[in-house]
Amino acid sequence: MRKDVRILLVGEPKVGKTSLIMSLVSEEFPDDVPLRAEEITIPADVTPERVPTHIVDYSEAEQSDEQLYQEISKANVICIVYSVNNKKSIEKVTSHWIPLINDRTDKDSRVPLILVGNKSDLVEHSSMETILPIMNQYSDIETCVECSAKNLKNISELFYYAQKAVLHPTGPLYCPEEKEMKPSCIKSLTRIFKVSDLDNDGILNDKELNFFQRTCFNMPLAPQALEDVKNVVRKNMTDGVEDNGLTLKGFLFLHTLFIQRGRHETTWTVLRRFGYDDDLELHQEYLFPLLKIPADCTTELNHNAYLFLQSVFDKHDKDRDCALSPEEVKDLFKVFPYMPWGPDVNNTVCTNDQGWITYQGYLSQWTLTTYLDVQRCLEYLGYLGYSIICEQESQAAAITVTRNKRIDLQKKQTQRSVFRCNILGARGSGKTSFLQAFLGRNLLKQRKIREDHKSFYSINTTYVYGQEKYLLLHEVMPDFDFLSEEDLACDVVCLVYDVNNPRSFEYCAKVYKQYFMDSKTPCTMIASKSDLHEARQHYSLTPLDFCRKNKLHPPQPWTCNTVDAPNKDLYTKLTTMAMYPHMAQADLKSSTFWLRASVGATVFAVLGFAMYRAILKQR
Amino acid sequence: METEAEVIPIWQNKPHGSTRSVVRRIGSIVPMKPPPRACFQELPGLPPLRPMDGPTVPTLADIAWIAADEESETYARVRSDSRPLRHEWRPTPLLVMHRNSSVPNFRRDVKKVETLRKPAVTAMNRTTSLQDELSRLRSQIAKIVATESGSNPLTPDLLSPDDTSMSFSMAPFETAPYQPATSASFVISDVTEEEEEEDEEEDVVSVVSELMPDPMPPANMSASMTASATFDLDHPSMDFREAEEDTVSLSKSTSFADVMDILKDMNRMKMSKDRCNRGCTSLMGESDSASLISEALRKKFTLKDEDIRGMKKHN
Repeated sequence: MRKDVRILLVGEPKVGKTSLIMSLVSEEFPDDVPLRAEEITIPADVTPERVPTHIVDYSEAEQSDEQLYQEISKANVICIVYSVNNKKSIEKVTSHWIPLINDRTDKDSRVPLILVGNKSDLVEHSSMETILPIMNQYSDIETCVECSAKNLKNISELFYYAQKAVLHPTGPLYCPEEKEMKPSCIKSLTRIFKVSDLDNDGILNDKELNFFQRTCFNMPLAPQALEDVKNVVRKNMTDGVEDNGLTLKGFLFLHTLFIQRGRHETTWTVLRRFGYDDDLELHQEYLFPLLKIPADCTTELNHNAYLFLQSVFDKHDKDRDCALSPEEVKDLFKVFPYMPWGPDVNNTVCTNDQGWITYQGYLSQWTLTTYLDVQRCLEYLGYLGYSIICEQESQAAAITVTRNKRIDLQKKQTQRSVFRCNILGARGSGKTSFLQAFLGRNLLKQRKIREDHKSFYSINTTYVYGQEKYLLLHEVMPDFDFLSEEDLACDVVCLVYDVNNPRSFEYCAKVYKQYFMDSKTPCTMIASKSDLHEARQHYSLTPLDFCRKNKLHPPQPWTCNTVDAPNKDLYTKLTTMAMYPHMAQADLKSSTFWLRASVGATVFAVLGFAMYRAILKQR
Repeated sequence: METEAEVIPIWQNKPHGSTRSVVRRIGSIVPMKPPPRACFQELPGLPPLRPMDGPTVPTLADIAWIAADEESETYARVRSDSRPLRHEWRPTPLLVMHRNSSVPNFRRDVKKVETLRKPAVTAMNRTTSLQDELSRLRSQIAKIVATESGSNPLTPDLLSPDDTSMSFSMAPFETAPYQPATSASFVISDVTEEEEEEDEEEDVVSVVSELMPDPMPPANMSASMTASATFDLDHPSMDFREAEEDTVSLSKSTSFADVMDILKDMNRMKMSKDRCNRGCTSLMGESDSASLISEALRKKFTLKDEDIRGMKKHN
């Protein structure tokens, strides 16, 4: 909504423009007026619409055409004043003023016009009948008003309508020729209906209507008023009310009624509350609120956001099978302008036997979006209406920004719930299978996946010391010469080699030596396809020796060629390594070290004691 | 010696902290923690008590009168308005939107529009209505004056103000000569409309304490008398005009007609009951109300003089 309004009065000489302004300001009719009134600024709290208003006068005698054109381009609304007892001034409206203004403004940024009939005290009848055809002819004319500066009649109403034409234009909302709301307005209101329909049954019941009233107007809805709403809709529309609730048709009818009764400010209030701007698009601050993320920090959804997403899932899972069928997914994303989840999502998260995204998979996908692209996540939450339903300031209230990883390493503990693991390995070493196995798919199921639905990410939950954590696996393309910063930044690294392929270990060793030997990121070797015959690797060291030399855990054998779902223990180990990186290497040495030390100490003590006794006996 | 005495600055020359008294000294030794102090913090994300942005907008709660609003204004027409053009003016709630749907509506009838006032009154209407008002007031005063001598003082509710006076229920009270103790008793009525309204308010407020049967103390009477004695009934001055203007401008801003109606009804009920109890005589139908009033004034003046003399004797 505009923050201030600039009103320009134009018209033939002697119609009373200056008198109108003076009458408004001094509340009495001045007998002598100057040729042109000075520009007046009315502060916000005095104006009917609570917006500061500037009123600019025009005088043909005092101002040049250039000045007039400049004022026209600066104005937010132009009042063309005519005198009701002067036919010539009415003719000039259509013959001179409207064409002049149209020439001076762009077609795209049309200024609303108001036709003002001054001197209504001098005639008996109203000029409205003659003016209405003009209003119908030119679509820029927003309102026609008749007033009298002399009798102080309808002066404040005139300026109220002028403000209203700027702040609540009817143009984007309604088409008077067809007596219907415009398609973009209908689309926006339909989306608002769907967002407000908290249980997704297609009607707004009493609770939902109450919430709607409260969130848009900060006022409760009395039970009598609820009944009034339903009665009015029932009287005028056959299927406006169903099961004691308002249907979409009834909702749209209500708004049409408000607009047709001249109360379109109500519809604008509703649209603006739900994040729409004057062009009926969701505005940028609503979809992309400011969120500062320092370096080395990650983003996660907080508890309220998860609850909200759960409620969205529940509302769309009509058959209660804890999975979203394709139709349910489509229904869920109806409030989006585009479909955000493609078929690759079904291969990123857990799905059920029919390939539908399960409840866990749904939450995992949201977690992934938040972790990898938080701006997109905010946008999606905006489309779902998170900040409205949960009564928050903005979508950013859904995100928790975790602390810097350095502090986590220092304190040897972390509060993060999402950990990223990068999988590196030569081509064909089994990285993709590794990702898919995390979702519980064995080799047989993996063969059924289409090539174009492949995904480089995979996310699922694991349990570490009784806590549920998300592990995000990312497959890195084996481009040896260049691994970007992003490919290297993660919580734990997996180097995968194929036991059956003699050349696959070399890649892993080289990558490790180049990037990970000196870094603090915990690494682990995976010997995949362990069900196949183990071949000798073409490398100076065997994998086992290599690991021992570099103080890594020995290579973990792994296979997904199982009858049931593959084993998940490896993933739990990976998550544990990600959570406690300082323990990844240390316990390899420390346990044996202390054991040996204690054994040595005991032996020494026993020997010493025996020697002492022996020497004593000798004496 | 004084000349060599050091000048101790103010912040050091008074005992402070635990040195101020024995109790404080003990308190500094005793291992007690002070109770936790209340600390106020603004909670983010709470909606403000009053909606601070924008004027009131018709909501879903106003659907009833919006649907009933069948014709557009006479003097203006918005492009999207699809109603037939109205030809004669009738009051519609255009700019006044303080309707709060949670205020209970004691009136059974649905048509509320009639209780709201015109937003603008022409000068012509103003003078005629003022004159009507004036003659009505005069007749009512006459009634009261006639009954004043015989029976107990009646409340000004007999005046039975009509809707125009209701509309400025928020008029500020005149504090100076008016004491609340005289609420139930009758104030001589060269009253301006504000004072009369005040009586109304005071009556409602002190419903319990009203109806003091004894005549009011002369001191109060004199106070109110002096205030009103200077008022010239026969030549209504600009005061009335101003009062009317105030009413017009105030009626633009509020329409708490419902609540005032409730209070008025309550008041009327009480008054009518008590009137019956006291068994008042019928009112004299004096045509010349002005002369009646001046007669009463004269009587009051004489009464006052006697009382003052009496009081002086006592003191």
